[in-house]
Amino acid sequence: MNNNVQKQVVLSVSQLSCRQSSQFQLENISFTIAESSCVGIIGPNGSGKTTLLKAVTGCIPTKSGHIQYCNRPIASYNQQDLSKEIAIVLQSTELDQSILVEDYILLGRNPYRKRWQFWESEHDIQFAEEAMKVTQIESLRLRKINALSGGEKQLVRIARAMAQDPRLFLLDEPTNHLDIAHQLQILTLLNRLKREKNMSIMIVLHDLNLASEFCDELILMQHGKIFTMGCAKDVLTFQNIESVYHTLVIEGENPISKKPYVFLVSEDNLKKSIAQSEELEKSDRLEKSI
Amino acid sequence: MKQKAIKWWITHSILLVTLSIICLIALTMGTINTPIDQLIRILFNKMDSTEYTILMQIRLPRILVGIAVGGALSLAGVILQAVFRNPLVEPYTLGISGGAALGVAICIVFSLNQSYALSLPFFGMIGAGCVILAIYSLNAFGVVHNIQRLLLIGVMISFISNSLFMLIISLSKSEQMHSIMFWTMGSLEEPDRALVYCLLIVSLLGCLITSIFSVDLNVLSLGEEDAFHLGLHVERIRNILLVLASVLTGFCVSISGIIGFVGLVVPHFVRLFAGTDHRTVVTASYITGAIFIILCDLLARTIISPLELPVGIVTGLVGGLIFIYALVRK
Amino acid sequence: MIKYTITLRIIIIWIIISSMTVCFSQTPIPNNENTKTGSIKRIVSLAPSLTESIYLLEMGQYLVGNTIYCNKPKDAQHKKRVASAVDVNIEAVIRLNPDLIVATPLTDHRAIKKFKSLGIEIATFAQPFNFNQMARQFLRLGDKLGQKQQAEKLVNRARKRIAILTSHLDAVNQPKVFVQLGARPLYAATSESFVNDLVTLAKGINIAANEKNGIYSKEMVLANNPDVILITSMGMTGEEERNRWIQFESLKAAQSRRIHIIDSDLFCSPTVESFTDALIQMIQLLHPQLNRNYIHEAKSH
Repeated sequence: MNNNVQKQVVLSVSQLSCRQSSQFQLENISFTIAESSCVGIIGPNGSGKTTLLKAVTGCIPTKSGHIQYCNRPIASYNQQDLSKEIAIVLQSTELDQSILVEDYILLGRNPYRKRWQFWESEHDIQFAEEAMKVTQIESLRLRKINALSGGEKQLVRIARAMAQDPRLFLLDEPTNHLDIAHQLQILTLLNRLKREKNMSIMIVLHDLNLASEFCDELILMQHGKIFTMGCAKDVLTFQNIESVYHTLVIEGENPISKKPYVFLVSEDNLKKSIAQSEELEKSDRLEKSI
Repeated sequence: MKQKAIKWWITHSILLVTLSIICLIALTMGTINTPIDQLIRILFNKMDSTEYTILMQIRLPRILVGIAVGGALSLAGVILQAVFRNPLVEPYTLGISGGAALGVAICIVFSLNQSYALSLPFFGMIGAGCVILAIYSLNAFGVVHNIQRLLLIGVMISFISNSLFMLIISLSKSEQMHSIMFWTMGSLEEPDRALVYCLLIVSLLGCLITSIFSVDLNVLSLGEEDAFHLGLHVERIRNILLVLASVLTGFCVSISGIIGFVGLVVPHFVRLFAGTDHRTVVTASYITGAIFIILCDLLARTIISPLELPVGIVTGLVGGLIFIYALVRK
Repeated sequence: MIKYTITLRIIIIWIIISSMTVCFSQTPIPNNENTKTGSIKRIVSLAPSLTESIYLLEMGQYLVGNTIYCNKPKDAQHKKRVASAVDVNIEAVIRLNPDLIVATPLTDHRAIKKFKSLGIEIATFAQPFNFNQMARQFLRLGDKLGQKQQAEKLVNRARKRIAILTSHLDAVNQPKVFVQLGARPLYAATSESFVNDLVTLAKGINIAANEKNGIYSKEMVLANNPDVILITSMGMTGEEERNRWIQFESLKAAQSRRIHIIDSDLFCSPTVESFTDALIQMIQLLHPQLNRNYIHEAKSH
C-alpha cells in the first residue's frame, strides 16, 4: 500500500464496520492514505462509497474497527478541531438559500471561530479570498448561491471546503452533472492542491477513466467491502470490472498520459464484433486455402 | 469586517430610533390624544391627575408588554425558522400555544385561580411547559432523530391540545367560555407590574442569548449535515435553541394570550430588507417585532374608539396585508 | 465546551426564576372598602342587568358610563359607552373619574385588577339565576349605592306579589315542562337559570332541572314527553324550532299544540320588577285553565 515510506500517513482505517440501517453498511474496511496523495474510490451504486466518506468524518456511528487521523483515533478529536483538519464536499449539500457566495464561503471558516467572536477576523477573510481565487470564482462573489448553475455551485462547494484549510479533503462525486470543461478544471485544481499544499484527497468517482487519470491509488468497492485496491493498472482489469460491475470492458491506455483506460462495450456490439472477426478469420482462411 | 459592522450599526440605529418614535406616538394616542408638549409637561410635573395615571399606569405598561411580547415572538420565529429550515414555521407550530391555552382553559373551568392564590399565567406556563418538556425529551433523548419529524410531532401536539381545548370549552358554562375565548384573542393588558418587568427581562435576556448564537444559526441554516461538518455541535445547539424559543413563546402566550402572525411574518419581513445573516436578522427582528405589535395595538385601541379590538385580530389583518404588498413589490 | 455549560446554566436559572415570579404574581391589592355611602356621584356599569338595576334604584342620573348593550331603559342609551361585550376600555373609564364601578364575573378580570390597583372602588355581582339570589344582589347593590330603603321596598313588593300569585296555585296539576334556550346544539334551561325558577314557582316540573350541563338530546325530550314546551325567542329560529317540535306526533305538547315562544329578555334576564310580569305570563302558559283574576290582584299591590 505505502510505496513511499517517507510520506506521513494521514488517515488509517482498519477493519471498519458499520451497520446502521440498510443504507449504511460497511464491512471490514482497511486502508491508509498518505499525505500529498489522492485516493479514488470507485464501485457500483450502493457499494458504500459515500458511507465510507461519512464514516471517516465521524458522522456515522461505527460498530467496530478503528479510524485514525494523524495517529490519533477520530473519536479523540472534538468536532470543531476535526473540521479544521478534514473537509468534505457532499452531493447532498443543497445550495438553496439566498446567501451571497462570499458569505457562504466565509461560513467555511466556522471551525476557527472562537465562542464569543461575532465578526470574522481578517485572517478568515484572507482564507476565503484565497479559496475563491484558487477555484476561480471571484467573479461570482456577489451572486446568490441559489441562482448559480450546477458547475458554479460545485465550485462554490469546493471553495467553502477549502476555506476550512483542511489537510484531508473528501469529495463525493464532485464531477457529477458537470460538463467536461468543469470536470477537468476541478480535477486539475485538486491535483494542484495535492502538490502545492500537501493535501491528501479521497475522492469518489463514477468515471473510471477520470479516476485512473488523476488518482494515485484506487479502491474498488462492492457491497460494502473492499473488492481490491492498488494502482490503476492493477485495479482496472477486465476481470475486476466484470465481477464488480457485471459489464464488459476492453483495457486500453490513454495515448498522452499512458495511464490505464477502459473502453466500454455493450454486449450487442461485442457479439457483433466477435461475429465480424470470425467472419474475417473465415474469409482469411478461405483466402489462404485458395 | 468593518463594512459589515458599520452596516449593522446603521440598521439597528434606524430601527431603534423608529421604535422610540413609535413608542412616543403610542404614549400620546388613546381614547383622547395627548399632544406631545402636554405629554412632556405631565411627565415632568408628575401631577397626580388622571392624565398622569393614564400615561404611566395604562399606556406605558402596555408599551412595555408590547416590546417584550413583540420582540420575544419574533425571536422565537427566527430561531425556529432557522432550526427547522422551513419558512412557514412560527412559534405556535410546535403546539406550545395549544398547551398554554389548554392550561388556561383548565384553570378557568375548574376555578383554580380563585381557590388557590395562583395566577392565570402560571397555568399557562404549566401547559406550555408540559409541551416544551415533551418536545425537548423527544428531541434530546434521541427518540426522534429527524428534525422534520419533530416538527410534525409538534403540529400533532398542537392539534391534540386544540381539540382538548375545544372539549373543555364545550363543557364549560357560558361565563367561563367567555373568559377563555377572550383570553385566547390576545391582549397586551397586564395589571401586575412585577409580571411586566419580569416579562421584559426574560424577553431582553432572550434577545441577548439568541444574538450570541446568531452565527451558529447561520451555520445551522445550511443544513444539519453541513453544520456538523463545519464543526458545530448540532445536537447541543439545537436543544438550547429549541428550549429558548419554547420558553420565550410560553411566557408570551401565558401572559398575553395568543397573538398570532408576529412570529411568522416579522422574520420574513426583516429578511426582505436586511439579508439573511442572522447577526443582523436576530436583533433587527426583535426591534421590528416590537414596533409592529405596538403599531397594531395602537390601531386596535383607536380605530373604533372607545371600543377596542383584540390585538391578535389587527396583527393578522395588518401583518398579512403589509407582507403581501411587500412581496409583490419586490 | 465550558462556555456551553455556562450558557446552559444561565438559561436554566433564567427559566426557574422567571417561572417563580410568574407563579405568585398576585400583588397585594389595596383594600378599598369605601363605605362612604351617599357620596356616590359617578357610577360606571359594566353589565346591562346592572344598568337596569341602577335605574330601578333611582340612581340613573349618576350613571356616567355603560356598555354598548345597555339599552334599557331608554335613558341608558345616552350615556357614554366605555365597554363592549368582550372588553373594557380602561382609559375611557378612568377619564370618567368614577366613584364606583359595578361589574360581573364576565368582565375581563385583568381590567378589574387594574382598577383595583388604581384605587377605584369596584364591586362584582355574580349572575343570579333565581329570584332569591337576584334579590340578595339587588339589596347589596342598593346598599352600595346608598339606596337601601328603596331596594328593600322594591324587593318586598316583588315578594308579596309572588306570594299572591303562588297562593292561587295550590290545587293545580303540575305539568311537565321543557324549556329550550338554544338550537344546534339543543340547549335546555337547567336549574341554573331564571326560567327554571319561574317554572318551579308556577308549579311546573322542569324536566331538565337536574342536568349539569345545558346540552340536551332530542331523544331525552321525547322520552320525558313534557306537557308544555317553551322556546325562548332566538330571532328567526324560534319559529323553525317550534315547527320542528310540532312534527313529533308522539309528543303530548305537539298534540295539544302547547309549544310556545317566550321572550328571552323577560324570562332569562328579568329585573326585580319585571320578574312578577314574567311569572304572570308563565302561569298563564302553564295553567291556561285558571281564572285570570290573580293578575289583577297581584298588580294592585
